[in-house]
Amino acid sequence: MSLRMIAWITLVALALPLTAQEADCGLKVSGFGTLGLALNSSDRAEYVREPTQPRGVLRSLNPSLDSRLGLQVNQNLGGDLSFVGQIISKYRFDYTFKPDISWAFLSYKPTSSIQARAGRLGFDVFQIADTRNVGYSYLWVRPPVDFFGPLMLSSLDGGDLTWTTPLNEGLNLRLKVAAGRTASIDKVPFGNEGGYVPLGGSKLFGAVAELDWRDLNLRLSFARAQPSEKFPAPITDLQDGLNAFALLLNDPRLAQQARGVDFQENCFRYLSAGVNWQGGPFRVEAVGAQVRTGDGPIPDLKSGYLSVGYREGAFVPYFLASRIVSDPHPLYLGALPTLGPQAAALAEGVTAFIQHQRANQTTLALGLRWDFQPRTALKFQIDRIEGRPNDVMLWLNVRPGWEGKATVGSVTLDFVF
Amino acid sequence: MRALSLVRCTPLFLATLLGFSPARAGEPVVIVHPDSKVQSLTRDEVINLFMGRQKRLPSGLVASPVEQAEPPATRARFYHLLVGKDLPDIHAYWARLLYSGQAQPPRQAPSAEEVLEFVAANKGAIGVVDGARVDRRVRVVLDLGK
Repeated sequence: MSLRMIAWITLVALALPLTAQEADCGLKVSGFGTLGLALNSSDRAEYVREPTQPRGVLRSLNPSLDSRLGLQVNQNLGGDLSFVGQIISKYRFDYTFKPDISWAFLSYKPTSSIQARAGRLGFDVFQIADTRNVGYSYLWVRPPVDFFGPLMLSSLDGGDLTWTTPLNEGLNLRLKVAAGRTASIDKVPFGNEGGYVPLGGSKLFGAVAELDWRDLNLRLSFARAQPSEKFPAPITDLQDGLNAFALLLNDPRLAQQARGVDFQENCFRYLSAGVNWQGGPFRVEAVGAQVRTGDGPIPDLKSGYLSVGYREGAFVPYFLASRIVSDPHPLYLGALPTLGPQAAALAEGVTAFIQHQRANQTTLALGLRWDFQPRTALKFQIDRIEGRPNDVMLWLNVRPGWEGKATVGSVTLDFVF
Repeated sequence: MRALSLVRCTPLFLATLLGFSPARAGEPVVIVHPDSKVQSLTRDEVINLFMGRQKRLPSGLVASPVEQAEPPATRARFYHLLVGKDLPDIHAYWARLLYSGQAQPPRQAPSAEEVLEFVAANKGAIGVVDGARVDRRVRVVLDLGK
């Protein structure tokens, strides 16, 4: 890892003299980064920012939660054509900071109102979802975990088409459709060291409608993802067990549950609506979302957040509240719990698996953003999280005695260059 | 309406003819190339061009926005007058647009003279400079300081 890190730092150091420079050849190199430290009040469950992180924060200062570095090139190819490439280094499934190619796409902008992009690109399923790693672009130390935590998709291999039109003085409409497959860089750690569930290859379709009026932005979006991968062995073992007992007991509903716990049987549908207002010193944002799964026992999710900030010179104190609830789908286990130790263990395993797909918690946060010098901000934030101890989707390595409550303190230094 | 804009434009027109700048020192003005076929711009048009929402001037030319980076006070005053935002907000706004691959921020020229040179040399250019530095190489299309 250290060798790769050195190579990576060297690359950034080489790129630095080029930054903020647009040479005559139309090449622009720029970047963004965050150095962060976080601390959890609890030693019973690890706090994670995104499901791709293999370890979370406990009662010792943790730099991997929020720290990240991105480098971007914009190359004008003449006329209406340009290329954008982006690499990101952040803590990922294999316990390293190995950089991934987050974006590499061609952009074609034949008129003022139309933009077509093809290649690997970000998709804003939710507001700011495609700039989640650019800490400098938002107020908080990190996007609200209750809202973005379950959103595993980041990059898309495919294309999108955006149409922008002014409707009236100061009123602009933006419509976007995107289609493709989720990029292979999205991997959720699973089981032993280095194991993971690949999220790449899921068929994705999405649409966004956005209305800008002066300081007000309204947004509505929809996305549909059809996973192509099966769950890894421990989960397929549960399925095999359910299928075996379905046969033995002649209980077709058990077989139905076996199918329902598979990724492939669940088409994920995302719906989101949001409003953002930046009037005078106020920054207000309210977003709600719903994630629907299949007919099986994997629960639907509802989440949302409200953020209010007030700029006073270089300081923006802010308040952030977020919440996620799971709509449990009925879990049918038939006669399993009563059929002896093997069947009972299977019933327990299936129940535990479903608990890991559930989240029910509320977070209240207070923070301060300090823009102490151009293009650099220092942020402080305290999060108080209260939730149900058994619904552990957003936590890692939950230990006995976990009560679902934690306080997390964070400091980040966010910059763009 | 027409009479009103005539009254408003005449002193500006005369001043430009005589080579004087009507703007006060320190107040930002929006300038274009004299051959850009753009006589004046509304505040909303300038917002769209400088905030990455529109890529073309009303005359159809591809716009190349350019700002005076130094001293930062001129830029800060411009964005304060244009959209009521401070520079950190503008930088954060552009971080969002740039790193989501939607648009690129205006070109930064180190001094007022370099903004003038760039605008004078490019028909599609649209620049912001300290009003006191404007000369006959460029045309003022919006004076936010007024």
